[in-house]
Amino acid sequence: MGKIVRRLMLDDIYAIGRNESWFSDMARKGLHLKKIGRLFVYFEKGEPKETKYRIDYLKEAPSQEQLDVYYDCGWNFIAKNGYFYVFSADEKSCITELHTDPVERGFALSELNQRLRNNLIILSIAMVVFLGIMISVYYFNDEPFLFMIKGQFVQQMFIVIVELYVFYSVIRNYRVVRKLKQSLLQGAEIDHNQDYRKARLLGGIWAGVFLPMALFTIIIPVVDIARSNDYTLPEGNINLPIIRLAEIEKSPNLRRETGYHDNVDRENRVSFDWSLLAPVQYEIDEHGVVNGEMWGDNSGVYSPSITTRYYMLTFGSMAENLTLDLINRYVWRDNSEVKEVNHRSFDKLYMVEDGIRKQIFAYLDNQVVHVTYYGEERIEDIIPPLAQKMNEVIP
Amino acid sequence: MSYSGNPMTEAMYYILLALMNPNHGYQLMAAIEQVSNGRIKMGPGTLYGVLTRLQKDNLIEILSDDGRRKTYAITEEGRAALKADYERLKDMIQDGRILEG
Repeated sequence: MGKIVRRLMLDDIYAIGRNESWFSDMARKGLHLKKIGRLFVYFEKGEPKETKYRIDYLKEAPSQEQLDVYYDCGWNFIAKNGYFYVFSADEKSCITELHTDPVERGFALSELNQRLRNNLIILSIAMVVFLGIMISVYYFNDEPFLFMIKGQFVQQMFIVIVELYVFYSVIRNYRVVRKLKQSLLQGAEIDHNQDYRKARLLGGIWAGVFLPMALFTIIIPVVDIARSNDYTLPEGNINLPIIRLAEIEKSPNLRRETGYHDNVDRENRVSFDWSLLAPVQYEIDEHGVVNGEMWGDNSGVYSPSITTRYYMLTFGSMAENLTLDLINRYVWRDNSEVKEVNHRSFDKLYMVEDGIRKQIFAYLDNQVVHVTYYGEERIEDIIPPLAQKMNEVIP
Repeated sequence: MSYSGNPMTEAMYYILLALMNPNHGYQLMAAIEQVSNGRIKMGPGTLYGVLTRLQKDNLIEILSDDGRRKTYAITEEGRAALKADYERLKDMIQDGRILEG
């Protein structure tokens, strides 16, 4: 047995004439068709030979008797792919053609044509539902940019593109079969020497674009899961773009308030996440308590806290919209005034105060930060150190 | 697509004609060549394509199947259809008489 060589199946099996022509050309180069897989076509290396190939559509698997009759007529069964069976014969032998009546063949393909049409209808409905869901997820979302960055936007878009491509292939195959059926019913024979190069080249380009994309959609969530990480915020110095509670609170009696769960202090936690649009995402909580000191309204022991959300974006142009989405999400009361503060260290900075709940929303280039502080100190005081931290990040 | 009395294809006509005598695959091809006086050499793909379709339309049936070889025969329905098409062809020949010398 000769060496097995494989080639990508870049054309549709439905393009009968083109594939027959390709197999014949391969045989002329000494590569004889052996097997047709999902992705690859396998050839066996041997002597160059003039061979003719015929692809037959057989709804019912042929019986041994049927294959014997084909064989006795000079046609060898070589390979199959779904309902398509490939037969070959020596080019020089003067045997009867496999099919001698195009109209009868047209009848057989009518059944396939019908089946493909039903598939197409079902798939069209599924596509409408699928695209509807995809569009509504973003269209009816109050914070589409936040959703895009936190979610799997890029991956979802890839899935949409890949789905559209699959849809296009189904339409293309349906049209190929319909055209073939029509021409057969009109008595025209299939051209067994049709040019296949252009179709294979085009198929190769499509495959080159969509296979990596399909692969990507599988890899992205894996990377996301592998990179996201939760851990307890260390008490000492850390190299994170955040303001520590100790930097705001003046009392030397400030102590950490903890709440362990699954070995992570939920009250003082660093939560890292990754996405293609925002490869660095932090959500960092810190809770403290000052024993011996009470809240201004005497509601209990003074226990300030700070939460920082930090995003480093792939595209700086999304920073403004993300900031606005964060304001929309985290400013709860409609009567809270969102004050824009001019600060030379930020592209934009907003401050919102609602009693003891004080927030800053700001962005600088591709960095977006949102600080929520519960406490009695002035929020303005954290702007300069925050500006310093964010400027340090920029190389 | 079930048979609804449309003009038959040549392949269909001759297969039905040849099956007036029950027969099996390979010999059927020889029989067709014979009844058509050597005019028709039918390809095996066409033969089995038509046999599958005729069987589905109940124009032929499998008389016996020993697992190795199937013997086909025309049904009453098939006979009637063949007869009808024969009459149609005869009319066509009649109508074509003006072409004769």
